Amino acid sequence: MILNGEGQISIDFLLGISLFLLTFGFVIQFIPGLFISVSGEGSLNSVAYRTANILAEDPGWWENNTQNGTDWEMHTENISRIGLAMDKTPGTRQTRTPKMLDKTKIQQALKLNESILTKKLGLYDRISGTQVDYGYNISLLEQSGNIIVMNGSVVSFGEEPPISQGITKITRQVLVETGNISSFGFDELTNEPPLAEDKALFNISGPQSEDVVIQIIDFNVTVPGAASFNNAKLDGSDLTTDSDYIAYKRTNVTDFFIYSDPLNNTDTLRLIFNHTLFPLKTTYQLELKFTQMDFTRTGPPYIEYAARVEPLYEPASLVLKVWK
Amino acid sequence: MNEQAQIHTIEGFFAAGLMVLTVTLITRSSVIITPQSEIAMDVQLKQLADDTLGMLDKAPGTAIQFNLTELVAGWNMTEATPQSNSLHALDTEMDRQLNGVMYNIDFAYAENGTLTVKHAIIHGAPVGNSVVTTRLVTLYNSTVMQAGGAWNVSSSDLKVVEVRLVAWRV
Repeated sequence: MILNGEGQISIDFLLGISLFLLTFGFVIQFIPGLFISVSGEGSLNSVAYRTANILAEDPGWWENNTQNGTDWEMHTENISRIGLAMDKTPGTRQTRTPKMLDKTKIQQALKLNESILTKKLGLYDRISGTQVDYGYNISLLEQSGNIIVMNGSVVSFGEEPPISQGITKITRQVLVETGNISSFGFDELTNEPPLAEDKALFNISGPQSEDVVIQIIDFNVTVPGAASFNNAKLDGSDLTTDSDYIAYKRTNVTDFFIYSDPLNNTDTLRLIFNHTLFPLKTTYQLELKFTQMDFTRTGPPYIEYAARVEPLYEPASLVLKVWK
Repeated sequence: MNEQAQIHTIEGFFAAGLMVLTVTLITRSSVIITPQSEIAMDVQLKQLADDTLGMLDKAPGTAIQFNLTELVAGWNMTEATPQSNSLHALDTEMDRQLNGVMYNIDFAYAENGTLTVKHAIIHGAPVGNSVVTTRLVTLYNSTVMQAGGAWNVSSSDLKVVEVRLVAWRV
C-alpha cells in the first residue's frame, strides 16, 4: 500500500493554471475594446459624406411599376432617392451637371414631410428591428454665410442642431439655381427712333412668378467717367429703387455691389425687378434710362426679356450636420 | 509533504508574460490607432478642393465672371515665385472659394512633345497631409485671344492644360 499524503491537486499546478486563465481572460476582454473605442465616435462620418454626395451630385430617382426617371419632383408619391442636382434628361440615370442644384427640386424637397425626407435620404439606423432616426440639418448658405431664401422660404431642412452633443458636419461647394436671368450685350439693346434719348426699351410678358433679372455687359460709353445708369420706368411710370428694383454693378476687379456712378465699358450692370410688378397676362414695357451711352439699334420691335432668359446660378455651400 | 519543484507555477508566469507582451506590442503599433476623425478631415479638404475647381470650371458667366478655362487662358506664362503670383484673377477667385485654406496651383501641358509643369500660384510649401486635385481645360486660339493670355495656340490647334491644385490646412 502506497501512502498518499497529497491533497486533491497540487498547489503548484493550481497556481500556474489560475495565473494563465486570469491573464487569458484579461486579453480576451481587452482586444475587442482596442478596436471599438477608436472608430465608435466617428461612425456618422460616412453617413454625412454619403448624404451630402447624393444631394450635391445626384439628380435623384423615382419609379413605379411602369415608369421611372430622375424627375422625382414631379412624382413625389414614388420617390426612391432624393438628389438635388439638375438633370435635363430625366430618362437616363446620370446627369451632366453635378454640383448644380435645381430650383424645382429644392422647393419640392422643402415641401416633403420629415419622415419621408429621413427615409429617402437614409438618415436612420436599424437597431434590432426598430428604426432609430438621426437628427440632421441641411442648409444652403450664400457666400456671406446667410441661409439662401427662395420665394420667401429659407432653404433649410431638419431641426436645429443640439449644442451639447457631438455633431458630424460636412460642407460642399455648389452652384444653386436661385432664379432667372436675361443677359444682354449693350449693342443688342433697342432704343426709340430717332436715338435721341439714351434709353433702352424691353418687352416683358406677364405674369411673372419670379423676379425679373436683367444683366447688361459691354457698354458703349461716349465720355469715359461720365456715363451712368439713371432710372427705370415701367409703362411710363417711374420705379423706385429698393421697393421695386435693385441695381448692382460689377467692375472688372470687384464683385457685385449696389450700383454707383460711373459706368465703364468693362462693367456689368444687373437689375433685379420685383416680380409683383408684372402680375397680369399682358406685355409690359420697361424703360432703362442712361446718360452718355452710344446706342446703335432702334425698335420696334423692342428686345424681349424672354428671348434670353436662362437659369441664374449662384455659388453657395451645402452644409449638412448629422447627430445621433 | 510535497518535495517537487514549482514547475507549473513558472509555466503559468511564462504564459502570462507572453500574452501581456503580445498585447503590448499590438497596442503600440500605430496602424490601428488612426482616428477616424482625421481621415474625415482629409476627405473634407479633398472634397472642398475638388468642388472648388469643378464649380469654377462649370460656372456660367452669370454666376462667376470668368470660368476656369477663361482664367487659365489669360495666363501671361510667367512662372510664379513665392513673392509674386502670375495669375491674380484666378488667385482672387480661388481665395474667395477656398476660405482659409492654403493652396498652390500648377499647370501641366505638353510643349514640343514634352510635359511641362509650371507654377502659376505659390502660397507656400505644402505640409504632410496636403491634398491634390486636378481638372483638364481645353484652350483654343479664340479663348486665349479673348482672355489676353500668352499661350501659343495656333488657330487650327488646341491645347489641353491640366490644372493641379494642391491644398492644405495650417
